[in-house]
Amino acid sequence: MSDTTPERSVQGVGVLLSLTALLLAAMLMSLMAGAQWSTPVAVWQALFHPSGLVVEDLLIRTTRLPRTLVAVVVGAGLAVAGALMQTLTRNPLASPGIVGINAGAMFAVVVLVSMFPHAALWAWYGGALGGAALAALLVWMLALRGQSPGGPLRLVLAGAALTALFNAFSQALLVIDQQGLDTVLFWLAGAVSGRPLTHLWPLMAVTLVALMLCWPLARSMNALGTGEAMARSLGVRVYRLQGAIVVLVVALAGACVAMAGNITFVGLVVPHMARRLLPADHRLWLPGCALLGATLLLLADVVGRCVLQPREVPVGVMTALIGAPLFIVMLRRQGRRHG
Amino acid sequence: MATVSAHALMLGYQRRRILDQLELDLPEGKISVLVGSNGCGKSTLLKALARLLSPWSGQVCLDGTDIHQLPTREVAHRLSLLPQQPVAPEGMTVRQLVQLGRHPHQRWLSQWSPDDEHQVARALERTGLEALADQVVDTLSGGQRQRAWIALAVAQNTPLMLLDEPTSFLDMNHQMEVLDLLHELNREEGRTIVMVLHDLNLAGRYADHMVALRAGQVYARGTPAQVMIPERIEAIFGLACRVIEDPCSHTPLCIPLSRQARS
Repeated sequence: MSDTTPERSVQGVGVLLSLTALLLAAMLMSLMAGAQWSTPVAVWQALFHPSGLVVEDLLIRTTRLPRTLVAVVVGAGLAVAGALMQTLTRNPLASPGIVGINAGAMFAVVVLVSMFPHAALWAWYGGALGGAALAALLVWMLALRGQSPGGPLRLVLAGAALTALFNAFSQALLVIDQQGLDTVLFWLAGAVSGRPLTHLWPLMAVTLVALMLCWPLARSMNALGTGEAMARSLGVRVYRLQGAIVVLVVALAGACVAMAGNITFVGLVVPHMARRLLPADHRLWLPGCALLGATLLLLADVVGRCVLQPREVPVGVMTALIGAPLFIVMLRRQGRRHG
Repeated sequence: MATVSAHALMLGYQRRRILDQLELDLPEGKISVLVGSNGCGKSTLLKALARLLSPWSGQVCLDGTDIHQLPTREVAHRLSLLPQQPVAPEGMTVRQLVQLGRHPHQRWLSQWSPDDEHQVARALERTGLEALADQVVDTLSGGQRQRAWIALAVAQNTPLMLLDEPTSFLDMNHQMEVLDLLHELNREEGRTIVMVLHDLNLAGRYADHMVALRAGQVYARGTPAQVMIPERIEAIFGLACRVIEDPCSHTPLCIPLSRQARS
């Protein structure tokens, strides 16, 4: 964002403002949507002048508001975690889901549930963060160290292997422990509903702090995009920056999986979409990813609430249903442009 | 002011030693070219000079100070590097790429200054890229792309520029385009240029100072005329050749001999 490119950066800021408007609209929709749709006026009443006597107020405040806030934070967190992975590895296919970090967090939750079925919620959350960190460490050892570090193919292969391994362990544990299965089924499918905010605020805080910490690093991330040697000769302390990015990814992915379980594709697809809308500058791209990720997850949740009424489709299933075709379309269009 | 030198430099990868007790002192304000056959350690030496590799023993000195004692940012104020085959981030425009050159001159919260602005405009003008400034780097030709990377280094505005094979994989016209640009930067702005070139004849044409490496040591150094004599070329590259004078630039020109011609 410099004075040299007024058109581009103004254009970028314009895109960010539009995305913000879109997010606000999606939030309103999420507060309205349900078996019985509420009017915007009713939402306004429920939020700012609640009456203890109206059922709709209660529904909006205790059910729709928490899931809306969770979807916003998780969507933003997962999208930015994916964007950071892509920057770190300079690999457009990287995302915490692809490299096994989400699977690691899931695995840790499953282990905790089957070994300590009555563990407090904070233990689950801690477990998810620990599992994410463990997976990150393993990927780093497998793919990013060694003679030709960081090759895109190696990263994706190591991530696929780790994901398969963690999922196999998780499934084995759940087959043995049927009771645990019921507890974590919700997590396996990915959901933003059904949990009171009182338990979630520490995770939301972790996610929001991690999102904000991206900002001071954004300029150096631009330099890192040109490769490690180049970045170092531009005065970037590359190892320190990479370490900081890994910590942020683990915090974001771990906290988001703890909050909402296994939500796929947001971390992979959203950074690509944002890249098409915004100039190649992390100071615009990362906020764009956050806004777009939050909006998409909200919309997926709204659609999930509506398609199979009176039942709900878990939002993790919806993101895969929407994300996979979208991703394939994007890949095909990209192929055409270059070829 | 930009002097770079190496003293008793030992360096390698894993257990393999690449540079062995290497001594080097490069002249200020000149174009120095490192030559040698594949695997002789010329790229490794350039990386060591750029502080990308840590020596096993010995040291690299930048303006008389051990380069590993200097902070990263300070080094970035004094030398720029163009690695082999750099890749621009997807969707990045030429102007954005060149702006990255101002990274070492900015602080955490400091704004983009008029000086940054000026340096970027100057770098674009210097490299003849003004008209292409808002093009995406991936869409440029090889020569234009290489010029954009050199513009980044120009915007970084360092007295010393290091380049690792800036002409490899370019067509001959683009090779000349890049080397002419570097020559201008040296002659008109007094920048010290150190580069690795694999084409001996281009090296001979553009170098003020030529350093030939063999088996991790400096085998010969001096003007191209001093280094490019048939016996030395045979020792450096294992290649029988004749050397004539280039009729255009009057620098030495190496004519390799095929096996048939030798007998």
